[in-house]
Amino acid sequence: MRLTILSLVFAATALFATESADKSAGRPDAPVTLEVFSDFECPHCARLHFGALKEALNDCVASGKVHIIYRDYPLPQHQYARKAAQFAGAAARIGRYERICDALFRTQEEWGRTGDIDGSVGKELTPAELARLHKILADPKALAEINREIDADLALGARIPLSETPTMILSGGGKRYPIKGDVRYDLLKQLISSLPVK
Amino acid sequence: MVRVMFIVARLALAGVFHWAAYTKLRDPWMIFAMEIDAMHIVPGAMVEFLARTMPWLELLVGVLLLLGIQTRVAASVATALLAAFFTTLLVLYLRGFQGDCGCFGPGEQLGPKTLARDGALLALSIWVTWHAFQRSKQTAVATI
Repeated sequence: MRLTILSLVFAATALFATESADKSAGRPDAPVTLEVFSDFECPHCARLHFGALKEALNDCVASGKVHIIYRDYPLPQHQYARKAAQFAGAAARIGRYERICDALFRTQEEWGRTGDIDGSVGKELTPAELARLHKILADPKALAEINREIDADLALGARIPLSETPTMILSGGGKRYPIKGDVRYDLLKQLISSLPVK
Repeated sequence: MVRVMFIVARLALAGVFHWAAYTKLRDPWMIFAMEIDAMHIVPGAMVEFLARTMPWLELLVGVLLLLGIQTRVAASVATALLAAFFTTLLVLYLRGFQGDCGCFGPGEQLGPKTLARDGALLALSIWVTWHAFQRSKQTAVATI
């Protein structure tokens, strides 16, 4: 009986592990958390992604001080932003979230005009990976789960409330600061250093 | 009557400057620096200097207006600051800037309401400054 329960728990965990999407970077137990709300079609979000966030990844995330959580905030005026977020959500399920994020932001002007995300970003993946990603997007259950995650991020952002993208929520040492726009990394780093964390 | 109005206006202006200073000083200076930087109106090197000094200048002006010390100087500085803020925000608004105005800490998006409020404050400050100079002129005449 105990063995059966254990097997069931293990099977459920394994199933959950394959379904779960990691849209974060760094150690989850890092003393500082940076939640980034962005829209893949927003130019300021792209500037933040390739500016301060890349520097943070190489510096305070690599050193274990900061955990970055990426949150989707597709704006209604951006026609293909949700589609891009779905693509990124599927990429997260095959362990290629960061690579696809980079590609989505880099080519946002291209697919933002045509809506052809696959054509602009698909080449970043191997044919096998792309096939897996397509399978996830074609599965109504998986797509519904991805949409639920996007909606949960949107609801979270609305509760803050967010007035623009990108917006980051920096928290650590009992402090919490909203940061708007594509900020300079030197200022962000000094703010992170000022937090009362060990 | 005008004297009472002058005192009320001076104290109101003092309250506004105290609040503006407090909302900036309660957070690390980097938050205000990021707001200034997002506006792209001053060179990068100036951002830190402005973010570190502006709230203290606002506090100083607020204290002087509250206590009625050096009222002409304090009111003139208040008017100069409000004129600079109003012009900057108007230009940013016309350029389509949608970020925070940085007026009273983070969270206030620049919009028509911000401009209307800052315009009204500027008008009030101009009146306080003008009246402060008028009063000192009258005092000088009375002394002679």
